[in-house]
Amino acid sequence: MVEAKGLLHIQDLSVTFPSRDGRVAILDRVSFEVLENEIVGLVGESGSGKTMTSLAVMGFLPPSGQVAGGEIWFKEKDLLHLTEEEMQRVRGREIAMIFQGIRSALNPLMRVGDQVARVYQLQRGLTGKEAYEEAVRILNRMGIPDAERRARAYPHQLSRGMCQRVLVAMMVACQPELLIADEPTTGLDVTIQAQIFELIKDVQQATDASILLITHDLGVVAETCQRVVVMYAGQVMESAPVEPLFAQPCHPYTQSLLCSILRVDKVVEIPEADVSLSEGVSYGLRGCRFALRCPVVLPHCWEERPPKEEVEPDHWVFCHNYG
Amino acid sequence: MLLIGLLIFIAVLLSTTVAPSLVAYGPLQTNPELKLRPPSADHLMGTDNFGRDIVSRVVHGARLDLLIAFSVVAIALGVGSLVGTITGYYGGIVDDVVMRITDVLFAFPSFILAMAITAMLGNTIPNVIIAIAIAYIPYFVRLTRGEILSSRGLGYAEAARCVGNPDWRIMYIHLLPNCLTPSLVQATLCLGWAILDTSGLAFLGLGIRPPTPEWGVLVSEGAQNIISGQWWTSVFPGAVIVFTALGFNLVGDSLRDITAREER
Amino acid sequence: MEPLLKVVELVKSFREGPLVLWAVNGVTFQIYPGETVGLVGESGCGKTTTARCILRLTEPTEGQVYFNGSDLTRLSPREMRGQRRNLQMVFQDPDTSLNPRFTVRRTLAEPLRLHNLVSGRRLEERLQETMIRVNMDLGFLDRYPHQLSEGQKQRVGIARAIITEPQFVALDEPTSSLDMSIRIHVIGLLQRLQEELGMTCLFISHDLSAVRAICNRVMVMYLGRIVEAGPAEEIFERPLHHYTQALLSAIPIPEPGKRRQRILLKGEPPSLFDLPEGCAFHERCPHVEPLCRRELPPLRDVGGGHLVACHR
Repeated sequence: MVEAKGLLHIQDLSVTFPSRDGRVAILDRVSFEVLENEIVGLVGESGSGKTMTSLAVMGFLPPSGQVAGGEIWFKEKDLLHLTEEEMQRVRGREIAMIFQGIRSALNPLMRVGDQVARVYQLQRGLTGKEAYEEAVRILNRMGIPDAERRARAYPHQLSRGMCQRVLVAMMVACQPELLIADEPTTGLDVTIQAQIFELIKDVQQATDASILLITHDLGVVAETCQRVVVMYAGQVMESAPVEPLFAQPCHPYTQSLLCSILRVDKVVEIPEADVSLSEGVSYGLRGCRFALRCPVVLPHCWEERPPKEEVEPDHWVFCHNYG
Repeated sequence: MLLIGLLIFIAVLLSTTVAPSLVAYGPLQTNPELKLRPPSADHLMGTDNFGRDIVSRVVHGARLDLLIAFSVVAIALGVGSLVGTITGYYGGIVDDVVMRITDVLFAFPSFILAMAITAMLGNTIPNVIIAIAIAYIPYFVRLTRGEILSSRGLGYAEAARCVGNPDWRIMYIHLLPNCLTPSLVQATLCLGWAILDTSGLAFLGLGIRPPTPEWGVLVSEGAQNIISGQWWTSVFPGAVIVFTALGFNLVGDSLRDITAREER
Repeated sequence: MEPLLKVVELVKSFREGPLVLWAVNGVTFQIYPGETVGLVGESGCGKTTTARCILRLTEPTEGQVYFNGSDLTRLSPREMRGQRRNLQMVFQDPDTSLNPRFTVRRTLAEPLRLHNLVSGRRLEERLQETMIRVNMDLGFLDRYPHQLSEGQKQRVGIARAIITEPQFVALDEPTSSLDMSIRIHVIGLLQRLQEELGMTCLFISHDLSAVRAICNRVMVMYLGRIVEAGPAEEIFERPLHHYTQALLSAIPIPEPGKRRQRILLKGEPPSLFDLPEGCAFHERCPHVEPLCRRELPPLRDVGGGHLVACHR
């Protein structure tokens, strides 16, 4: 039994999937938390396990995935041991999620106004007419011009930016305490992306909800998040408030990652080494999975799980170099 | 499923190649005193009106049926994919015309179409092959066209063009090999249908005529004997038709399942 | 110096029933030998279509494309095929741009065979040289695409583009579908190839940070027209067109505390079917004037090779 602190607390979560060599831990002893009223960025490249973690929280793991260990606490609730019915009550009302892939998240056969209204009916118990009026009102607040008319449109008639606003509206309508946003702006133009992130920040401030923002874009993290959790190959590497993470990254992976970012405001020095970090990831290692690529790897990194060290207040690193 | 189908497939193949030499009697060897004998140790499937051994007729008939079936599928697949590739790649008027032609062909059940064409052309084996092939070509045109349509916009098709490939190479060397899978699955199913269609035509007196041993012919010849109680003359050939067609269908279905799983 | 590539009043329109979509609406520019020019803009601005018209992967509706003096749009299909050894393209999505049934060797050897450039032992040598150039192990020559990682597939795409030693290479979002750490290595590779081979490149991307790392000059497109062009340093440090300014301000900076003054544009881009009169940007421009609604501003040189299309 772990003392539940904060809003969401994930402790030693491991999730396995079948593979040619038996079951492989796509998530390996993942631990981090999200406190009240904060925006936490969950950062990693493809294969890091960030989406899988959010699916585990929501209870949306694909059938072949199994939770092999660990706990997920949301306030006082042990999410992994709730029944499906109890979980359905948590979803939406307490934790809401925007999935990757904007158009596929909306029902193509329903008008968007009706889809938002449905959320109000289900989650807040409003009647049909009241729900629809609320829906229009919130679409307006999300910055959709001419909301009355737009509410009668079908998703394919709206641009992707608009669709994303509709999705944010649906999330806000749920009034959850925790919002999980998985790459909410992939495929959107940069100018629209900026608008959506401003919107998300406004929503967070207005509702005091917490947001778990899953992204691979470090620029977004720097501008939007208060704390950051860095993942690699299904393990957590480092977790810190945003400024210390960028100013003094401790984990070798975070350091390499920060050296690989290209910037618009200055010309970046391209590192000499030519092997990229996220290729050839091994999910079978018992110790630290970055051992294959780590420039400062120690002999016991391969076999032993790296200890969790607090290098500065609230700045945690999972690395033998700090143990 | 696949296993059963394959077993049947192999058994039939064996019977066309090896069995004829193993069988004791010739297919056309008549023996009037032995006429209409029920199945026995000497004649496992009995004898027909002319005293001919039915096992031998069935085994020799297999050769013919399979020859026809494979030829039909080869022609239909070959012509169908060639045409389907062109219409899928170029689109436009060519596509419209070909699609309307296939629409017309699809409007007729394939058997009726084959009947009509055989009746027009005459009762020879090549004509039967052509007739049934024509009935199947539209399937392959459609399948290939669909696959080509979805892959012609893909990167590697454009890259092939960018690198300097002329159109015909892009169509037949790059795109088509990647688009054949559904057609191959359909081909196995068509093998089964072809056998049924050939037998059906022969039963009706079109295409192959007696005394050539062919399963449909055998069923037709034996049909008249059912009333008088000599069931073996038509039931055995009929059962063989069913089992062979079933075998090919099983193989085709399993192939379809396997390829669908791989694609995911 | 004569430009290697000169595009004059290029127009590409698509007809959808009664409506006409103007994807490229009168684009003119030159590219000089040895340069790497970035063509940037958001989705729908026409940058990819422009590149495809230059390579005649789509046929331009109007306009000329002069390559080494001759107009590519006037060549017959056969002549164009012959020219293709000089103009190559790296495609966006490494997953679909390689034929899944071809080994790497076959994919790379094909351009050489098609143009009868080398054969026999020389062919094998050229294949190996090129693999080494893109930093790939020779063992990969006999692999199939599904056995390669994203970064490796993209390298093969680059290898295919450079193997005929073309004079001009267009790169269509070569890093957009790659992870951060792979992206920087591909950019590094491209930089090295730039220096070693002296290639002339057109780098098309909506990822401005990649453009900044590698391009000498930049052209910004909006709704089918070039709105600003100039040396990379100029465009990034002193953008003049209001769209460019908004675009640059929208990009989040990976340094907390260094927040840009964000210029938020109103609304969304108009539909390409229904282009507004006058300056295409006037509906969203924070500095719009009545003249902007009536007249299309021409591209003017304001000094130092910096061109802007704006009524200022």
